[in-house]
Amino acid sequence: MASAFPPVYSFPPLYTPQPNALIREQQVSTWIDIILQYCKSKDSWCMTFEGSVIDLSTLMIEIATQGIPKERESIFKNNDIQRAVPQSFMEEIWKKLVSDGKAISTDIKTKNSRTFYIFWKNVDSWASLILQWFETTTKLNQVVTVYELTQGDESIGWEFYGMPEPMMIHCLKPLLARNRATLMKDEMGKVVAIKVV
Amino acid sequence: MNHKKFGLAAFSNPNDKGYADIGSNVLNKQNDELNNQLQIFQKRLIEFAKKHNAEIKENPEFRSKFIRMCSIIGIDPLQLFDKDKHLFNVEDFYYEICVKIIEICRKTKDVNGGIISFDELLNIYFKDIRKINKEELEKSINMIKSLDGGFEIFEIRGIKFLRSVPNELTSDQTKILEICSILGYSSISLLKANLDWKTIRSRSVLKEMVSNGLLWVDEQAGNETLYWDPSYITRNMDTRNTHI
Repeated sequence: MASAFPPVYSFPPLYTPQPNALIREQQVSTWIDIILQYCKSKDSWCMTFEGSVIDLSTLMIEIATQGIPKERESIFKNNDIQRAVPQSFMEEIWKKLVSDGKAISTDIKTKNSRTFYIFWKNVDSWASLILQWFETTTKLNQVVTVYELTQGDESIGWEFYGMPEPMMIHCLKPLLARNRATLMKDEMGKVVAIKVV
Repeated sequence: MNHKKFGLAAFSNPNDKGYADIGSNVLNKQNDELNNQLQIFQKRLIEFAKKHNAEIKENPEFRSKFIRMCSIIGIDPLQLFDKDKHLFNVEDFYYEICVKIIEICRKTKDVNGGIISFDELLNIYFKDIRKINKEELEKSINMIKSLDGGFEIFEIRGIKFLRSVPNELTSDQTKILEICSILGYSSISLLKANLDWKTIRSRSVLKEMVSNGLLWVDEQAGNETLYWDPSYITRNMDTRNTHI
């Protein structure tokens, strides 16, 4: 686990919100870098507010059962040096992550979920990668289901393979804005398929 | 000689002048000769440098030896190189380092308050680019100084640091950094035990250093606040690297 972290992760004061404003800014962006790097190295799409990565299936179960998340390994807790980020500071970090567009709440409508999708690449680069997929797999002008895009055989080996569907739809937004994509919804209004031209 | 003289002594002035002229003539001659010699030596040095240009560029040890020799006789090697376009590369080399140093200092300013150790500069930031040594780093920093940007070198317990913000470190602050260089942090009780400082003195100096961005606060170390030196981050990294 330690190898995933930069040396600053073992710097004890990183876990105390710094009173100096300039340093505080630096500190928050250091935390953001750590989170993004960590999620990338673990191939994780979701992280809880408490700083542990979770995979999709457990997330689904938790959302369905409204269960209390179990105690997990948390990025905000460093047992090696006996330090942990206090709740209020986590809040600050998440706020910045969300406002930078590097994380969105998994509950996209109400935005008050305690889990987040983490974008370790920004939305635009995801969008262009997806566009590239459409081009190389010659799926342009065809209707492709979101499932196919994220879980299908033809996406294996692509970085977005396994991306949660709501996150994928979020990543398609730049394509929609450029009028390159059309979303198809089912009768419940849920996006099920996509056509890219 | 400047004093007004009275009696006979007053007449000896013109004579004195004559002696002085003879004296200064001799000195001037010697000076001219020395200048000549120096010029010859300079020429030789240029020839030498021209011959071994590639070697100077490639080999940091050789470069520093050459430069040390130049500085002993009082020639700035970088100015020496200027005269010969074959040797521009060596100067470019230093300019390159200068630019790099400024970049690093600006990039890390928010983390370390504008103070960075030579070790950090060399081992972390200059590791990938090209092998350079401490003397070359110092040389480059001395070149940057002419920009009046407030760059300055100082030493704590034999470890050299570069300050890139125009803030003087007080002797109290230096002492605290000295203590930090041992454990990575200092605290009010540590200062009391080691320097016999009163709490109020320690607190005010530490607080000031935090507001200058020189130290980071750590509230999770039991009952006392610790004040950490950010250069500890990379120090840790060094030891980790050597263990592997």
